[in-house]
Amino acid sequence: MSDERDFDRIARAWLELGTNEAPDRAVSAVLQAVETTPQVRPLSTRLPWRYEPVSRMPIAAALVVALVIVVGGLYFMRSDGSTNVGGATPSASALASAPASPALSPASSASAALPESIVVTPVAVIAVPDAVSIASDGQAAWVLSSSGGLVRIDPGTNEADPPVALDGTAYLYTGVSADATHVWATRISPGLVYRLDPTTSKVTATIETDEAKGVLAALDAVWVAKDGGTVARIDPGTNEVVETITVGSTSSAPFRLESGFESVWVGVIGDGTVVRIDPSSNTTQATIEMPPSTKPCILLTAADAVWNIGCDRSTSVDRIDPSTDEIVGSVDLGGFGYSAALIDGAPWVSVEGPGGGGSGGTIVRIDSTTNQVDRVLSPGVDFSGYGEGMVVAAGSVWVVDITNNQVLRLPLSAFES
Amino acid sequence: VRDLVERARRGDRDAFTSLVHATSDRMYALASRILRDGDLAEDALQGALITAWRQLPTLRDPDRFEAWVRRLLVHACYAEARRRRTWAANVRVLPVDGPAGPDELLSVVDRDQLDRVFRRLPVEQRAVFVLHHYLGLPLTEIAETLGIPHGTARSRLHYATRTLRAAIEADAATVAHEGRMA
Repeated sequence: MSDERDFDRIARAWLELGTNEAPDRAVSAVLQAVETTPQVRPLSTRLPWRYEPVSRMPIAAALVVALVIVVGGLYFMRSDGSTNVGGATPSASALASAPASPALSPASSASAALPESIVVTPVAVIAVPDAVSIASDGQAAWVLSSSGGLVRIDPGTNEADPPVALDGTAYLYTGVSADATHVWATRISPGLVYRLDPTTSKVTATIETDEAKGVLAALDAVWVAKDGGTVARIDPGTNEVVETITVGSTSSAPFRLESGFESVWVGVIGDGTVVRIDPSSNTTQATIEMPPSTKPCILLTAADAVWNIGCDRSTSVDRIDPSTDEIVGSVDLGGFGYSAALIDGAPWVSVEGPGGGGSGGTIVRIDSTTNQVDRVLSPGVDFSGYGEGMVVAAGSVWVVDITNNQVLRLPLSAFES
Repeated sequence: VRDLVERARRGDRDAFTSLVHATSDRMYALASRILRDGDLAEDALQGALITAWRQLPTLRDPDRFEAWVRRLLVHACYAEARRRRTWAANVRVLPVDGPAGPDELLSVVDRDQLDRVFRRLPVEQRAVFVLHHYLGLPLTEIAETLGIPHGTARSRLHYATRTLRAAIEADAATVAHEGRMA
C-alpha cells in the first residue's frame, strides 16, 4: 500500500459496504418494549414534593398509615407462608430427598409468576474490567478477564490482586476452572490452556489446544471444550492431550462443561444438544436434544438432575434426568439466564435485568420439587445478571457481572433456606 | 429534534417513537459495522434504544441526544460482542450484505481480509475505527462520545489501523508473490 491516504480510502470504501436500514422487526420490538418499560426518574423530579411547603399533620398521618401497612403486610406474609421470607421454602435435605421431577411429564414446562424479590446487600463489589467467568480454589476466587488477565480476589480484603497476564489477545479468553492445587484458563485463538499455581499465581504450563473454550478440572483430568466440535482430555500429570472426543459437528461450538453422575457433560450450542461423556471410556454416553428455545450452554449438576441454562438469550432452563438422559422439565426464569451454581443444595441462576441495560438483574432459586422459581434475590446495587460464572467460596457467593465489569460478593446466608 | 427529546424526557411515548424512527437507521448502520453481524447489530440497537428510553429523563442537555444515544449504542455493541464469544471466536467470515462497493478501490480479497482481521480486533478498537472512518468523527469527539481520554481513543485507532494495514499489506505481498510464481 502506497501511503496512509490509500489506506483511509480503502477503509472508507469497505465501511460503506453493508446495510443502512434498521430491520422493521427491530424497531417494532423497541416500540413494543417501550410501551411497558417505565422511565428512570432522577430523584429531583421524582420527589418534587420535597421542595413544596407541606404542613406536618398530613405527613405524620401518612407515616402512621405506612407503618400500619408495613406491619400488617409482614404479619400477613409470615402467617400465610406464601413468600420466601421466614424460611417457608423447602430445606436442602428435603430437596435432596425429593424424587426427581415428581408429577412432571417429559418436557413439561412450569411457568408461574415469580415471587417478590428480596433485596440483598453485597458484602463487597469488586471492579474487574472485562470479567467473564469465575472459579474457586477453595480459598480465593479467580476471575477470568476476557482481555487476557486472571485476577485473584483475596477474600480477606475483598481486593483484586494484580492480574496474571496470560497474553493479551483481547476477548478470546473464555474458560476458567480451579481446584486446590491448580487454576486452569483457556484462550481460544491461538488455542492454549494455561495452568497456574494458585499459591504463587504463576503460570506453570501452557498446553496447545486449538479453539479452547470451556475448561473443567474434574474426574482426574482436565477437560476442554473446543470450538470445532470436540472435547480434549488433558492428563494433568503430563500436561498432554491424551484423548479428543467428538461431541458435535465442526461448527457446533461446544462451550461449558460440568461433571456429575460419574460423567462429563458439555453444552453444544450449534447442534442444540447436551452431550454426556463417559470418562472411563472417553466416549459419548448420550446426546440429548434440547428444545429450540434453549440453546445448550452453561450446565449445572445437582443431586438429582442436570440443568441446562441457555445463556444465549434463553428465558428458561431445562431439566435432564441423568437416569434416563431425557428432558423431564423446563423452568421459566422470567428473563435471560446466565451464571449458575449449586448453593445450599439448590440450583441458582442469575437472570439479566430488562433491556440488558446493566441494572435490574436478579439471582433466582429453582425449587426442584416443583420446577419453579421459588426465591428471587435482588442485589442492592446495579447488577446486570449477565455473566458466565457464580461460585461459593469463603462463606460467600461470588457472581460475575460482565456488563458492569464487576464481581459481587454476596452473603451465603441470603441463599440458605 | 430538541422538542421531541424534551417531550420524550417527560414520558411522551409518541415523541420517543418519532425519535426512534429518526435515528434507528443511522444507529443500525453504525452497530452493524462495528459488530459485522446483522443479528448482533439488531440486538445492540434494541438494547440501546430501550436503555435510552429508560434513562432519557437523566439526559441533561437535549441537544446532546444524538451523541448520548450513540454512546449507549457503542456500549451495547461491547455487550453484544462479548455475548458472541459464546458462539465462536470471532474468526468466521460472514458474507457482507448490501450493495457492492467501489471495486476499483476494494478487491474481494481486500474485503475478505479486512473482514477477517477486523472481527478479531477488540470491540473497543473496532468502535473507534468505525466512528472515525465511517462517521468521520475527529478523535476529540470520539473521546467525548465514548467517555474515554483522548489518548485512549488515539491509541485504539492506531492499533486498529496498524493491524488492518498489516493485513492488507500481507495480502498484497501474497498476491504479488503468487503473480511472480505463475
